[in-house]
Amino acid sequence: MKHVLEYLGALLHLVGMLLFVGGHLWFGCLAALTERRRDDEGARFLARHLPRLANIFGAGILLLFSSGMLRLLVWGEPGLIFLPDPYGWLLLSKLILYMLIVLNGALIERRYLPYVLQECPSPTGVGTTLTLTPAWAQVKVRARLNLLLVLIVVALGEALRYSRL
Amino acid sequence: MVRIRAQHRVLGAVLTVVLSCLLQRPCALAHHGGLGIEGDLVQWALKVDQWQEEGIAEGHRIKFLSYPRQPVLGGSTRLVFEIQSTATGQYVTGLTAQLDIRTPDGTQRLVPLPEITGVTAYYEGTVTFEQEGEHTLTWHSTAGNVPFSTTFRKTVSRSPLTGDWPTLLGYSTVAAAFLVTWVGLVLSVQRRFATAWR
Repeated sequence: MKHVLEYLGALLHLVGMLLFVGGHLWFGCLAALTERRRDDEGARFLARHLPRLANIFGAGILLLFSSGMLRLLVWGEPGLIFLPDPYGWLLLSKLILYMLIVLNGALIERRYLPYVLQECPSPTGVGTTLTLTPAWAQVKVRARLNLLLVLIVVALGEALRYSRL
Repeated sequence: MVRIRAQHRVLGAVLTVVLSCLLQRPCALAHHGGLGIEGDLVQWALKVDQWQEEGIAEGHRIKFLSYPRQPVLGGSTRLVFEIQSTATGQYVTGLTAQLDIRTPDGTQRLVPLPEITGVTAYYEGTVTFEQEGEHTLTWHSTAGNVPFSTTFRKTVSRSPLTGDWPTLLGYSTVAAAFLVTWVGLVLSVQRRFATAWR
């Protein structure tokens, strides 16, 4: 049972990572496509896909955290993160970066995401058009920061292999 | 719009192919954000029996771990040692070993450390600590008429949740990560419902 849980945790951790990192790469492509067409159609395209991406990021983060916690519980060591061994310091760094990623993500979602698009009167005078606001630039910068942080976390995960308890 | 949608579909197809390739790799190769660990995957992954300290005395490398890592007052703690020759790297079996445990108030007791049958060069004893604080554990044995010994230290705490700073820091960090995740989840769900109700 312990082994099954361990493998399940590892698999879910990988899937979470794929969703989160893959989602960010997808977001990068989407942003590039949208920016190529700075018009109403591009904005509507973004409006349709941004909520879906936010859901993917959310699911990825939840999977990463729950599978990580599952494995810590399976290992069942008091102190949980193996401090003061090198393994523990690496895990601590991963957890701190993880918290920064979540806080940054929450900030994007609460403060910037709802204000990315603005409805303006159409220049033709008929109906309205969607335009991108300065909040969009903030979303992009913060999403890049999150991608950078998650890549550092992945690198730390790789470093765990070489840490000696 | 149609062009963007078409480009989006192509990207989707490429990403699906990449994801399928990655997911087809055996999951057994995954470990804690790392990939492709060496040796016995299961033993390495469970990590509960990794050596915590080691000492060298008279040409012998003495590896030590306690399980649980943080001994708790009144609880049973396994103290495990493995002996290896520093010259040849070979494991040393057939030793008669004992552990001298010195409590914080200075009292001493000797615990025999029999070799574990079926596990080469493993010597293990189970003790119950009755005092809180730092204990000195000294391994004593003789190999080829040459006595050798080495000392390790273990701090016994009243609760598994407190004790030394690494334990406290570990639990605090995990609790903080849990809290941040929970707050993030609540804010996220709140925003979705607020949007739906608007």
